[in-house]
Amino acid sequence: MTALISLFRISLQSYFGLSAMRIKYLKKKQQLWEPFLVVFGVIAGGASFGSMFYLSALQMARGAALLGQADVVLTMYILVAQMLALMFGLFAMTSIFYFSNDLDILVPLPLRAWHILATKFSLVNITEYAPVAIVLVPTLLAYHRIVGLSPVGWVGAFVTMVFVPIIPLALAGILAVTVMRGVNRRHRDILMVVASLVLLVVIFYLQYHFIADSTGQVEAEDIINNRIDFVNVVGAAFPPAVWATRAIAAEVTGERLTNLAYLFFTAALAIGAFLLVGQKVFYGGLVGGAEKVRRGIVYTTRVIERQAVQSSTAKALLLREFRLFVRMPIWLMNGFITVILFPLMAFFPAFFGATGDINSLTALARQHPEGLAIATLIAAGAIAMMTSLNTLTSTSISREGKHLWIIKSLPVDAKTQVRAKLSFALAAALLSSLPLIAVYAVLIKPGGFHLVMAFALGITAGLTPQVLGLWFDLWRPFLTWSNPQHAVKNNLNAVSPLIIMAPLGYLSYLGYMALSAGGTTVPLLVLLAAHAALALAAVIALLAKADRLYDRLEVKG
Amino acid sequence: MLRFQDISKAYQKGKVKAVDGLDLAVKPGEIFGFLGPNGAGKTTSIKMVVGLLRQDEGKITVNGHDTHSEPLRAKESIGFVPDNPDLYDKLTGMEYINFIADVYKVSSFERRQRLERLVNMFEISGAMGDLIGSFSHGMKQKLALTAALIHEPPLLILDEPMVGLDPRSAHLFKELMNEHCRQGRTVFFSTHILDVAERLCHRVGIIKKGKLIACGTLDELRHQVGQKGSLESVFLEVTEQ
Ligand SMILES: Nc1ncnc2c1ncn2[C@@H]1O[C@H](COP(=O)(O)OP(=O)(O)OP(=O)(O)O)[C@@H](O)[C@H]1O
Ligand SMILES: [Mg+2]
Repeated sequence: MTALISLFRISLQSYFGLSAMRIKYLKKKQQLWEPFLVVFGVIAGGASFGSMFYLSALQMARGAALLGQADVVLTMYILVAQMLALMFGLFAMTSIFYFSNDLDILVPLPLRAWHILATKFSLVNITEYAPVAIVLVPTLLAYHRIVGLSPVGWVGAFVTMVFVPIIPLALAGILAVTVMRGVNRRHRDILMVVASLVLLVVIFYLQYHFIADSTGQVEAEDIINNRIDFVNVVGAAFPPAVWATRAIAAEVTGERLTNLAYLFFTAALAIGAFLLVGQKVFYGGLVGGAEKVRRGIVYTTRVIERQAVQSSTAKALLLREFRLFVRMPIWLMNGFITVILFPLMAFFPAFFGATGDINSLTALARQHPEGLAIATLIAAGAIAMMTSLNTLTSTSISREGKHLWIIKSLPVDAKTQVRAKLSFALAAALLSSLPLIAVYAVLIKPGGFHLVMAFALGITAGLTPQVLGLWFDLWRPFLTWSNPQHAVKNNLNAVSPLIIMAPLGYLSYLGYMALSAGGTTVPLLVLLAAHAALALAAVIALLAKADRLYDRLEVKG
Repeated sequence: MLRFQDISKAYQKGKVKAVDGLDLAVKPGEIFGFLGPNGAGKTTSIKMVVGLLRQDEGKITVNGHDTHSEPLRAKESIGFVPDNPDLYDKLTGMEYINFIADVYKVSSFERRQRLERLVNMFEISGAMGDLIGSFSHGMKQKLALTAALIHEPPLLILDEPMVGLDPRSAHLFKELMNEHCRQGRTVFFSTHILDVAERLCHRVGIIKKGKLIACGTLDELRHQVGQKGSLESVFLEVTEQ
């Protein structure tokens, strides 16, 4: 047991880089402003994700409360949180088991297999509380606003939240460990991306069918007479979500405790199953030396002939950015998947018409003459915020780490390299804006002009923070990481675009307000022009400084 | 081909003087061995040539191009393998070579010819499709050398190239260095293996505490210390003082 505890403690420290932080901030008291910026970044990031969930949950709760079924909001968003835990869990579990470098050290130690498995599980589980909280805290606030939650209710809610990610995570762990075992190392990264997308589609599809089917059979009379319990209907696919709902919202304390007990035992069972499978499949394979599957292509004249083909420097640089980024699951997840997933999940119920009267939002937007313009501003703001939250540019140099020598010794000027990095980030921003545009289109049905406006404004507004984020990372990159996760997570630079975006967004709002006397179209166009000009200026300035900034970067090693 | 003019470099805001007034010229077509005890400043000097560090003072020219005012021209003339080749673990060998060759603008035709020869010589033709992360240390070095030679640079710079190579691969490396110089190109490399330096190099320079303390052919060095022995005994004698 002491072995397990000390393993857990040391893993915790290295996984989150705690020791380094403690030495830097508490002992040496260096750069104490950094933690404050991080806290600010976390709050700003959490708030921008959280507000989407709050809006969506509040809307749904209003609708459901009319039918006396407000609890279904909890069920819905607990499901959403659990889906996120499953998706993130898949990435994180695969990373921590198949892409981490500490196994070479751990396996020879006199530890039991389940010690290692349980420790890694706990580490991932801890990180899962962030997305769970981002979904559920706003949901609880919305629920509280409509129904009211007693102090005891809040305590119950937080206890319940502890259990929310465990079961999906255990499933993700079992899935990751068994699937990855059979897959060639080379294909694992791409498999993971494909698998999570497929999973997402499957979940959406199932959920859609469940809700569509069950609501299809529901008679209006039954609803009015309270004979149908939406909580059961929505949670039918995954009963733990129902138990969690009851553990928070049941009227009788006994019922709350019973449901909590269900959750507890199921979670314990799930962990047990994971440990069992993990020992058999993962650990067995590891010690059995099943690693290092080779692709086995021999580079004969023919193969070389086919593959050794010249392309332009710009294309080569861009391809390098892309490959290095997507092949590191932890970067892909933190920097990109998150900003795609959260918006989709936040408005997930809306896609199925489950938010009660969705049209009320549309109506609201159309009631005021300015409503649609405001909605477009919000959508653009969300796109810009999501762009600022992806860490593509702001950790771009940091991610080079010990490989920085390669791009530093290339005969390619800094401008070209910076251009490649910015192009990659822009492509990613365009892609990650699509879900939000889809949400906007489905929810509000604003018409072509406003859709294009939201898209263009969001992208251009998000560009300046990205450019400045790259600038900041060029100026003081964090290169000395050994765990790729630290390059993006324990890196202050990652939040720099957000810190720039926040005031920029506020200024845009003020600017719009000042202009709003001139109708709705003109202010939007002016804002777009202003952001485009700002972004262009930022790009030009960075390119002008790029050589100097690159020159300053020394590879000491 | 490569010229250091009064180069100095200090670390930690001037506290550690790593290179101190280094003055050295490497002629075209020669293999030049850069010797010196641990911490003498070899790696630091090399990093300044390839653009990884900036010198505090002095001027470095590569193939007639000042590394400061014409860095790209200088870099185009260099093929470089660092002491510990950290290559991208997540690229395959082939992807990496293609990337490097694209950046140095090597045509498809040339890269095929060169690649085929090098890959077969190094016996890594079965590994080129694998992720570099699965390569052994020696394989990474071979890949790094392949990448450094893919544009047939006028100046090849290697920092301790023999470390961790098996005897056969070490032999290959030496062969390639010889061949490189037979084609009229230049090799500049640091090493601790004095036998290799003795047999391979036309001239050697010995650096200690950042200062060049001896430079020339083996005979010239012998003459300098008034000794008849091997490079090893000359080295020991020179670095003793
Ligand atoms: N990043 C660094 N920060 C501070 N000092 C450094 C750094 N890198 C090197 N030094 C110092 O500079 C001096 C020269 O180091 P360098 O690496 O150039 O030596 P070297 O000749 O390559 O040694 P070796 O034979 O061990 O490779 C040493 O005193 C070393 O401690
Ligand atoms: Mg060295």
